[in-house]
Amino acid sequence: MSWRPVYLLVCGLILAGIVHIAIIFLIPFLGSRDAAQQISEYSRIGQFQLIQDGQQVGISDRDPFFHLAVCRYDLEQNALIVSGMKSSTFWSASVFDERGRVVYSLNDRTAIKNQLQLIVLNPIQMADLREHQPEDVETSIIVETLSNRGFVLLRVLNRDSSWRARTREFLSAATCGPYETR
Amino acid sequence: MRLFFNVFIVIVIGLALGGYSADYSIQRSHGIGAINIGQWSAWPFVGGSEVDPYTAAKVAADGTIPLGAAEGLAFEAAIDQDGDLLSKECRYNLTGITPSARLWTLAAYENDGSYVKPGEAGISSKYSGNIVRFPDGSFTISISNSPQPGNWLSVSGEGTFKLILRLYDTPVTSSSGLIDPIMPTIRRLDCVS
Repeated sequence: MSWRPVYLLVCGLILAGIVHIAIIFLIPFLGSRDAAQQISEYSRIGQFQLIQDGQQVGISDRDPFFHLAVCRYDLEQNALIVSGMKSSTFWSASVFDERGRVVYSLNDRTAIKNQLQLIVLNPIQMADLREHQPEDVETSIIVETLSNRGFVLLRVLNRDSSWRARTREFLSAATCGPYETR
Repeated sequence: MRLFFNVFIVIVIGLALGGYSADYSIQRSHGIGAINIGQWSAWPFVGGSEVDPYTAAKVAADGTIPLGAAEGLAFEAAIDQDGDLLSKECRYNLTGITPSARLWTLAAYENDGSYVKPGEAGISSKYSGNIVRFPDGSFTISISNSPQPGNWLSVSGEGTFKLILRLYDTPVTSSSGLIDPIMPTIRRLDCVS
């Protein structure tokens, strides 16, 4: 009889474990503040869009010294090519999958010739690319991803207001379009 | 009746403990998946595809966009050297050096992720390129409501806040990194009230 409280407690702890794991795994799917979801709803396919301060995209803990631009991709039809101009200021870019996980990231020093040129493709397109070996392969970073949808986020350092024009120029010159692997 | 009571007890324990432990494990500082250096916490696996479920849950719950591993690493601090929560009514000195990085930024945030409103004529963020340093490369940043000589990061209002120091293009995130990174210390000087 005296074992009953212990038994109840053990059952409670087991349930607590299940609840704990369920919450942790469900937050990314059910969370309402999820910035990745807001970004992919805001962004468009085939074009970089600036993310301004105080816009409908709610990103917590934004770095005030960086300007952001985002472009959504869908590899169903075509692979994606992202390119940018040369810049003297620091920039970095990350390829995110649908769920907001970083697939690949680079900065201006790790890019080929310090220039943004990125081809994002799925394994089928990768096989096509291997077969055809177009010239772009030599100057581009090839990113293979298993998720067909996601977004590319470009960040540029805006060290003070005098750099604003150059920062904006870099972001508006960045392109994001379909790439034929065949 | 007794069965109902027993089931009720089990469910209460399960929901309370499960909910609390889940919330606790993804809280802002010193959570699971974090590395801690002094008052600072960073989530080094947030910028890779092998992000753990706790870090993923934290990112979604906070509504942040993580830095990729090649971009940099963000360190958060919500407490000072003595373990007290950072308060906008107090004056702090952030002293020391950062791990090597191309550049870093420091900014003060409200707990909901928006910027702390700076006081008059001040700004609530700092960039490594325009701070004053000592000859040995170390620096002191004064965090305060009232203007301070040297590097001044201005905060205004009341309540707690947090600091985020972001290292960009840093070897700390590479696999060879995490070689005893040194972070500046946050020391409280005095408080208004």
